[in-house]
Amino acid sequence: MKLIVCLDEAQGMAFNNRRQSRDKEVIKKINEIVGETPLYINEYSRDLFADGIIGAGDGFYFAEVDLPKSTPDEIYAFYWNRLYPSDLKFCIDLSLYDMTDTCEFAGLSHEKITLCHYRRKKS
Amino acid sequence: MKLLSIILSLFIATGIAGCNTKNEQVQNIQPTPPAVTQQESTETAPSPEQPSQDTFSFDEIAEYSGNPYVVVNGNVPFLNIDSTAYTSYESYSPLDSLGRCGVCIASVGRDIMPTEARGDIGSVKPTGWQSVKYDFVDGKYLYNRCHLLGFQLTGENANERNLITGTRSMNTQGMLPFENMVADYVKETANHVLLRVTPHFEGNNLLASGVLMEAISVEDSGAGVMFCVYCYNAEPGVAINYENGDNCEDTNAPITEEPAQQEPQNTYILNTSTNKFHYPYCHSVKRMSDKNKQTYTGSRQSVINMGYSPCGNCKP
Repeated sequence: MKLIVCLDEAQGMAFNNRRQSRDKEVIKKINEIVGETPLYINEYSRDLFADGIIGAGDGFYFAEVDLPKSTPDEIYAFYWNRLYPSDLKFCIDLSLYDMTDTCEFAGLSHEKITLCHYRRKKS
Repeated sequence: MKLLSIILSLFIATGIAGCNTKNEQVQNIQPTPPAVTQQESTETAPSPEQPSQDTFSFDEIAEYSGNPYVVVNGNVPFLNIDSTAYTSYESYSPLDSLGRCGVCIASVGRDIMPTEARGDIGSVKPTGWQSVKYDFVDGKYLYNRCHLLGFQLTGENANERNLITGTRSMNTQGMLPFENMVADYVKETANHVLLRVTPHFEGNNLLASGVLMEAISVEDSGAGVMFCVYCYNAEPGVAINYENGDNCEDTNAPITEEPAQQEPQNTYILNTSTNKFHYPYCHSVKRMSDKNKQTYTGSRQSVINMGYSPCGNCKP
């Protein structure tokens, strides 16, 4: 499973069961990354991905207000480079992953968004 | 902690007419404070699971314990969305007899957000203002001129009705994250967010103890944005006299048993050669030799305690 998350400067994901932020450019990027592969989502993310599949399966999982129970093989982390309130933190240990790629781009409502791709280290 | 209800009750009794007209769409909305109760304080703040209350007392706020904000009323604001909220407006209470700010409210929409860079606000001296520095405070200055309605939301510069004396921590760790959340939502959706900020002055204090921030997104009835929080006007390591803003280093600050647990736990990349630490996405990490690279998860302070200094580019 490949996990997609958006994180703030404090590794926060959500506050009060709501996303911290959103950006149309991030949605475009995610659609590019996913391509024809199935994208699984939580019901909460339906307003961002109308074609997303509710649940979890073999493919991508876009996590906003929860985290998958299984350990992802790859992680695509979008960093907002801003601080938001958070009561749900990203708790996956990235030291178990290698960062294989990173890029920056301007969002609609964010000056600079950083995308990092992590791949799980082989044990 | 004394009730603010007397002050707020005066607002209710006398009415407030403090509108700051900015454009043709600004409506004549009077900022109404949250309904307050005269009840004695309760021992604990309401938990997130509890249903919304009708009234609110600042007595319910827990004492400052190092966290920049605390959730109030299960994050359910004491605001009602009415027909006026579907059009952008902003409103600021007049200063009281002591020169203090009052309740500010806005229905934040794209049309009242700033289109130019922030101007100079140094001409405003809010009550309790002092220019004082501490080496351990982010940016050195203990006090900032804090916008009640953030500049990025309503574009107000040197409006004395919208600026209070606030600690650096309240400004950047308490209020700003919530303003960011509101701003992004409005920009991305073109919807409105009803936002009310109530400064909390105890008695005749000139320095606010904190601010109550309430927000709800209008067009989707809070599905996008909803919060009700109290931001403490406090700074770790500094003792503050809220009567006048006097302050000093707090050498008697209680040492918590597990201070590291109160700090955000981040993943950092350590360069064992340069003794710098970086965010994982920092460009410097890509150029770092594998033999010098070490991944670490913990608080920022714990990394510094290990002898590492923050990278000047990614500024972790």
